[in-house]
Amino acid sequence: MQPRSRSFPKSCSFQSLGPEGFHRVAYWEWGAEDAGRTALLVHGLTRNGRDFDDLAKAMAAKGWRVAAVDVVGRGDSEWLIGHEGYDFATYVADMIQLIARLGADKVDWIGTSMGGVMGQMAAAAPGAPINKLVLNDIGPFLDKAGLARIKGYVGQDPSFATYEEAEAAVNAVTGAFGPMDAAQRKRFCEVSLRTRSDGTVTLNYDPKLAWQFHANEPEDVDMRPLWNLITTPTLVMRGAVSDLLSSETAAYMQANGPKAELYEVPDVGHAPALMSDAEINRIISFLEA
Amino acid sequence: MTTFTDKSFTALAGASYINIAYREWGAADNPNVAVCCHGLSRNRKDFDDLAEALAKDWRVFSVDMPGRGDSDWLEDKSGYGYPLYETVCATMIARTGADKVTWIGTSMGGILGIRLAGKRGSPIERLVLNDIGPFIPASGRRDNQANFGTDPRYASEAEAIAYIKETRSAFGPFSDKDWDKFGRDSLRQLPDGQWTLHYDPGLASNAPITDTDMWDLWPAITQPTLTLWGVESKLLQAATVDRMAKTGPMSEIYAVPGVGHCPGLTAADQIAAVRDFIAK
Repeated sequence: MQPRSRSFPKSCSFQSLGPEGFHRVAYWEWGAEDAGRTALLVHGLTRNGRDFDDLAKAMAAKGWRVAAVDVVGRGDSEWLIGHEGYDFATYVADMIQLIARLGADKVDWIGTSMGGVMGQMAAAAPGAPINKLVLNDIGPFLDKAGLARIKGYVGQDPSFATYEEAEAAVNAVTGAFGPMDAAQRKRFCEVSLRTRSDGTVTLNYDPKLAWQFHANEPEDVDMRPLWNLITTPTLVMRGAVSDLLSSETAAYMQANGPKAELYEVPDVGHAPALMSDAEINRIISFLEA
Repeated sequence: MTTFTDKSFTALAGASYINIAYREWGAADNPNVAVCCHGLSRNRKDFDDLAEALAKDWRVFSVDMPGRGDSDWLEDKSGYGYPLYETVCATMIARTGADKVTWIGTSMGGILGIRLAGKRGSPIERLVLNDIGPFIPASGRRDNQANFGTDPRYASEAEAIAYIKETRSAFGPFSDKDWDKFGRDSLRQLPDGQWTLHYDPGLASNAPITDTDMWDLWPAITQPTLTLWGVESKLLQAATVDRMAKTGPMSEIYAVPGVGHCPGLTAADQIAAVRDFIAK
């Protein structure tokens, strides 16, 4: 069967067991169901699965079945009632249930920022259902400077009178994402926003999910002991001017644990958008190697 | 003979992973999905006859809980328990690909059904409870666990089957052929040629056995429910059956006279009772 070529993904979901009973986890599926390999694409803190349209489409054409998940509280996934359930234990448990859902024994896991923290956690235990790991601008050491910047905008629950105003606000806090052409930047904004029933525009995530950022002062996060447990072949993509993944941490990742391959995206901060041919081709060639 | 396929998936067990075995019958594109879950010391094979009978109209899954059958055993035995089993069952339901499933649970598998069906957003749309309810007296639990975790050894399979038959005589009604299968399904052969039980003896805990009271969960269940009741059961008492029929999901009751804990789901009338109920 030839992989289907689609410009829009199939909208899917399942009920995942979490801290409040079951919650709906949405995912965007690309490619043929009987494709030989399955990939799980996991976005950053306030983002969602539609960030990966370009990468997913390219991978589907190369023979992957791709699931780009909306982590709980983001995109089309359900919002939790309380805030405490928004934590990595919930997120990783959701991903392992999703991998079972996909019918795959193992997946290639591509995670941007938070999705890459989840990937490191999921990959660190023996028997992980993960073939290969791609970490996008994230590693086992998170600089507090980057976390402080994120804390400055996350979880504010803004309300914009016009779409243009909302778009400008998204662009203001995601300027480091790239490279993107004008059409990609436009779609990046579209998937970042939702319109409320009263016509105002807001962000496409539950502001409660940021609770941990506001409960604590930003500190460096050191997961290097976890890193050294990972044996999964790993590629790290780094924005050359990232404020979350330092060049020192990237060097550590190359020398320790799974001894990651490194690919730097010039002139980009946190995080590479994975929309350019160069980034997409580098990921596919790593996974195919 | 309908064919089945034995498969597996990975589930999260605390901070590690375990491989979970399951058996699947029926057409992959059939949207009518039933998931079967066995009792404390049993495994997925207990549902072979029922699943085979249902497979024409249903896609049926039967899962080995951790420590049983072909599923992984835990290194840390303290991890065995309902929180882990709930995660495994939810992952099994996700694995089926269905949005909604019928849950068929015998004993412990029925406790899992009770625990999962009442949760917010549960994907369970229909519940079949085999000789289990929201109240289980300590005396019945003690009786049921009398030989649990003793890790016996038998020189021959026949000797081991005789032991199973003797200690599980409340199951049924079983023909001789049923007992042979039930016995074989309970066993595994060790590298030294001896026979032992299929499950991890580390499942048995030293915790004191008390009454199990889940009446608080019962009103949260709104799914249509059928309860098969072994009338001689020491785990499911008449008063509990009565309350199950009158409160919460107001369970239908199918009483199996002359049988204790629990109905074996091999007799034609038991299979028909399940088939008719889930077809509604």
